[in-house]
Amino acid sequence: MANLNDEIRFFVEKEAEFERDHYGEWVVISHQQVQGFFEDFQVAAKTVMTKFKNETVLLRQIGIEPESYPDVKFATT
Amino acid sequence: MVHQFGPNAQDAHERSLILQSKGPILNVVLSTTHDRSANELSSNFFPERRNLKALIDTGASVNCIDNRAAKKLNLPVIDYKIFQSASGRAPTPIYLGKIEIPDLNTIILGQFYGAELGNNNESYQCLLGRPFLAGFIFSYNGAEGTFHLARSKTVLASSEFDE
Repeated sequence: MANLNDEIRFFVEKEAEFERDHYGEWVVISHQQVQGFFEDFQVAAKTVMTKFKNETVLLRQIGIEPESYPDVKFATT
Repeated sequence: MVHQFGPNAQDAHERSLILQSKGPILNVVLSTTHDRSANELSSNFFPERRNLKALIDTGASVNCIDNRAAKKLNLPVIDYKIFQSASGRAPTPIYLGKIEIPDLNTIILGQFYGAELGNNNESYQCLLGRPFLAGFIFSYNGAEGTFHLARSKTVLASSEFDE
C-alpha cells in the first residue's frame, strides 16, 4: 500500500500547478495520481469513502490554509 | 419541527452560567468511513460508532477529535499538518469521519484534526469549528442560556442547554 507521505510529496511537486488551475478546490490523490478535483468537500469525502476504501488517500484543499486553530493540544503521530 | 435537547429543568440564570462555563455542547455520534458500502449515509450501516460530546467553536477554522477516540474508531488518516511546538516540528494526523447529530437527524462527513481532548477539564471529545457550521444556522443566546442549531434554511431543530 502506498504511503501517505508519497501522496503528500506528489502534492507538493504539483502545488503551483494546482493553485493556478484549481485554487480553493479539494483534490484527491492516490497512488501519486490525481483522482479528482472537487469544489465541495462533502462530494470529495464521499468519493474517498466510496472509491478508495482501505487505500491510502490524500484529501487536501488547494491554496487555503486554516487561519484560526482552537486552543487545544494537537496530537502527534 | 422543533426538538428540545433534554428537559427544561433549570431557570435562565442557571442555564446562562452553565452555558458560559461549558460552552455549547452537542451529543454527536462519530463513525468511520471505512469498509462501508458506497452510498450509505444511514446510521444503521456504521457499527463502529462512538457517542461523543462535541463543543461548537465558532472561533476555530478546523474540526478536532480526541486522538484516542479516532484511533479506536480506526478513522482513516487523509492528511497531516505540521505544527511548530516547543519540542520541534511534529505532524498532526487529520482524519476523515462521519458525524451524526441524532437530534437533527443529520449525518455529514468531516475532516478532523487529531487532538488531546478529554484529558483535563474538558467535557468534550470533539470540537466542531466553522467547517462544520458551513451547513448550519447557529445562534447563541447567552442571556437565556440557550443555543439553537438548524440545517440550512429550514429550521429543523432547536437546542436548549440543560446540563
